[in-house]
Amino acid sequence: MRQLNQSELKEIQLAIFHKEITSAEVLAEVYDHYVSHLQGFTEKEFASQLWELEQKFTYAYCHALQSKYNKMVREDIGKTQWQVLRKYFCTSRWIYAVGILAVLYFIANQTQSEKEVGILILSPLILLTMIWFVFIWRVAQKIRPIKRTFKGIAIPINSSSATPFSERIYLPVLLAQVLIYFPRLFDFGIDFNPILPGIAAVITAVMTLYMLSLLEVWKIKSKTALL
Amino acid sequence: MSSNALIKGSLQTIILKLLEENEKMYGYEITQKVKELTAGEIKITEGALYPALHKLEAEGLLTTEIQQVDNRVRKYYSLTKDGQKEVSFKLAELQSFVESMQRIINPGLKPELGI
Repeated sequence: MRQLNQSELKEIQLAIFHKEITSAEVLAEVYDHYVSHLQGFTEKEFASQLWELEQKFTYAYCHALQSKYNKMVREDIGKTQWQVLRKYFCTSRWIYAVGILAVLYFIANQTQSEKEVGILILSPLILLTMIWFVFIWRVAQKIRPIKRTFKGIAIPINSSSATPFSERIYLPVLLAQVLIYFPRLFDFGIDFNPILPGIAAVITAVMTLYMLSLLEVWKIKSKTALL
Repeated sequence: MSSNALIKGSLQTIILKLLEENEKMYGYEITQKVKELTAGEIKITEGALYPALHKLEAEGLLTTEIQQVDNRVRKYYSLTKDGQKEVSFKLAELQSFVESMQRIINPGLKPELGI
């Protein structure tokens, strides 16, 4: 086992760069495999061994691996969030959910004006936006060593877990937009005003539980993934 | 060297068994360990290894840990609780398959001998 010199490392990075891998997890794994393998060979054997690795880790193979990995991570995040959400309604944690609903019911009863309803719906969305900023910062911190290795390479490297997680943060914001603007497009002839605080409380409750579940998923996944 | 098709069918069992004995391992280490244990008779190809590791991770049998090693990031795999349970099941399944194969190859052997 020997330490590879800078020019050898640069050669490996260049070989991997041509594969255009964007997933930080896959990139790190492929790079580690290359370096670990080549460390077991002499400088003379380096070129031939690198060529052999290149025949195994082809462009098509790396992209298939990346695509399957991204799909797996997406499904895993969805599955974990669903499990967390289901837990809120388990007997052991029902008080937690009932507590949130009671607080929101109280707030909804106090809510009178359209402005107050807006604030009620917006509050979890504002929190989600803040979570998103912290999330982006944390992911950047975690993938920094990988980005540093592939510095100067014009391929956007990101955590495979970051995109599906970010999408889950945007989702309620987009839904809220639809809920706010859709009724304004069509005149249903229904006076929503008396039930508006109630609807707002339900939406806020759903969004709050959604936000808490997402935070819990982040906490769980941050132990093992680049999140 | 053993046929790739034969190895492919038992790859998950090999990975799970190695991780049961070694607590945590990274991809390249797994290929080298298999090579070492079988004196080069079984070579796990990278093409099969990483998809298998990712599949086991997706099934919740493996968990991962990211560590910084020599200025690079290394992904270690280890067994989850479900993975630990699965190892014995997979090994028993493989053992039974090997015994059945032996009965086909050597019909004269008595099954009660446990060969």
